[in-house]
Amino acid sequence: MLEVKQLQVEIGKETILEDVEFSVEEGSIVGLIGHNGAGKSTVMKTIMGWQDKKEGTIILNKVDQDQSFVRFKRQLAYIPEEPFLLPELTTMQHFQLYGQSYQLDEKTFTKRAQELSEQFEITDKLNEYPESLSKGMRQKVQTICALLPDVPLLLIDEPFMGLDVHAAQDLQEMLVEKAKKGTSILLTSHQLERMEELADTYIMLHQGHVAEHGLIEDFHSLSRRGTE
Amino acid sequence: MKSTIHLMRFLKKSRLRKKQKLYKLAFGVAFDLTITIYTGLFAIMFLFIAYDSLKQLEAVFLEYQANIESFFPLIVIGLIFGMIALSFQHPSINITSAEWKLTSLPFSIRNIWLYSLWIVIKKRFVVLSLLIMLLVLITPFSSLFLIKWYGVILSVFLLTVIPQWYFFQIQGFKKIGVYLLGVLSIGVIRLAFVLFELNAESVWILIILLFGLNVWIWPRRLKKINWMQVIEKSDSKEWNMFFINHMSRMDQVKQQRRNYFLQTLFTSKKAKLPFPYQQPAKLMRKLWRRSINQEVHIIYMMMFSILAIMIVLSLREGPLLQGIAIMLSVFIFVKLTVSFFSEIFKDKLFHSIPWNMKVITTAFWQIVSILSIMIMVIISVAVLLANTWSWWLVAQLLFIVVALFFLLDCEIERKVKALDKKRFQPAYFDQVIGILTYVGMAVSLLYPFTISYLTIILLYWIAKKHYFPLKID
Repeated sequence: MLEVKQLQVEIGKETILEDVEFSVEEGSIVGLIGHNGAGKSTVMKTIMGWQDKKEGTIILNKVDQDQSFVRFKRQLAYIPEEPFLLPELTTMQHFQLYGQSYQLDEKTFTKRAQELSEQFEITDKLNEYPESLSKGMRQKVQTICALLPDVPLLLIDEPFMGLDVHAAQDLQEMLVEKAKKGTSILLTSHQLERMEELADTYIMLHQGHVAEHGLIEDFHSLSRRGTE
Repeated sequence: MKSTIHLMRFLKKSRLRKKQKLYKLAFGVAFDLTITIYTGLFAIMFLFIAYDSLKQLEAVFLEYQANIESFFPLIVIGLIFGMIALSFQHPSINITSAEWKLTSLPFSIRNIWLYSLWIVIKKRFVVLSLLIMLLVLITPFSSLFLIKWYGVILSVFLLTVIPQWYFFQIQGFKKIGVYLLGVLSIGVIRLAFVLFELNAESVWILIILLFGLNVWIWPRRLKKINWMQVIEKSDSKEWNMFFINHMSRMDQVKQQRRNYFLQTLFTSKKAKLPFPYQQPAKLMRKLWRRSINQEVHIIYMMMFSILAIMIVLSLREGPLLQGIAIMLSVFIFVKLTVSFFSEIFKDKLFHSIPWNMKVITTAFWQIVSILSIMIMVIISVAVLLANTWSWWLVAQLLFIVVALFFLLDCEIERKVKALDKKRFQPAYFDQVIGILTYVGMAVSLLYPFTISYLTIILLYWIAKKHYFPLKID
């Protein structure tokens, strides 16, 4: 599925990521863990292509990011920590943009958009512009956008930030459901309890290096050992 | 109120200290000791020269003083109108995000607003007083004349603060209605001055009316306030420091243009409706319009540059110079248009979704075609005016049209490929044919047979589209 090999990222003269290597298997949920500044967001940004890499390869389902960026991106969807919606498009127009970009047929799109809008309780906000939505609502819109297509990989940066308790619980269930159907999920979160409930494996970053990785149960025992 | 004043002063002092620090840093970058000494000396010399020149113009000043008296009411009316018209841009009273945050502490917005009003009044009073003192010192106007103007202008300045605040909060067509009513009132007042032969001293009637307006607004001053707009405008005014922006190159950072007034006015119900899902180009066209609108000043500059190039080089005799002008115009247009094409992909949301290149390029072409036609009109008019009309000339213009679209298509195709492949290298032959097309345009007026190159362009273009179509999606 997703293979990140010998990833090295530099910003200016500073090395942000060095020799980062990991893979995400089909249908697995992988938690990217680390302190602030460990490099979690840089990993996400590099996979998304916002951040240039100095060395390394990122391959998703045998598609190299450098060789065919458009095909690479068609296989993933991203939920950012901070919503970045376009001020000129309404909620529904955002959904349409995503649906059309991921080439969903109209019937599937309409069904999913309706279902997700109901689940996230935003059916009355479909013709509203982002300016008139609260931050939580905007986060919901951004989340729905990414959940509309069935993609092999979901990248999620702090998925529960800004969502209310019910929406966060719903999202967690949806992610588990997606993973069962074969979607791989790479997510970052500071909410370790939720991460332990959700993730199968973890990758711990420390100062731009992969410090640890393994099954999430091991992370649990390690973290307990650390506090004893 | 006492605690509010205390904290507001503290905020003001902290803000001032921060600004001082920034200015100190910026001045440190911009000036060294030698430049400072020279600038200071030149400034003093300039003041002496200005004073001397103004003294010599004493007769002119006195003449102005006598003549301007008759325009006194008109100027006052214009001043009132102008000050209130500023409500389209700014609320006059600054409530920044820092002040707004105080409302979450035990400080009332009424007191914060009142203190902010006092600050505006104080500032306007001090600035105008200093200006009048300077005019008394350096101009030959009589002191009595200046004091009379000072009194009236100060009254207008102080009495328009609250109306500007009040009108800033009004939105949409209601605002335009109020504005038009204002224009009508001014007309009526002006007419009254003429009909009733009111003298210059009667402007005090206007001041009293303005005072009445203030009294009427006072109980309504904090009702239906759009605080988000007030805070945004206040923050941007407070921290918009030209020198600092220039030195830190912040003036080169693209600011997102926001005009809530126009946005609320022109966002129709239709614009909020979903797009026809089966026609993705419609949604894309909206995104392209948004993207190009953000660069509209560059389009104006481009049009002006092309017009200037075409006029200047066409006025000089010679088909070669005009051919070079055409080549340069097409080059500028193609390069800038392609840079517009790249712009949308920098948007975070747009970057994060898969690109349906066929839809994206189709929608872009639909928007850009209008621009291309405008450029071709400029080129054609210049060429037709500078040359004698003939069918050859028409054929040459046709060659330029095809060449322009061909070059644009090649450049866009290269951009699309570069977006998909990190290490994309354009084909050697493609680059050569591009260069030859530019050369062909430059010499086409001098050597009309060059337009036979059009056949090569068309053949290459058709073959490329047929045998090597762009397969990104």
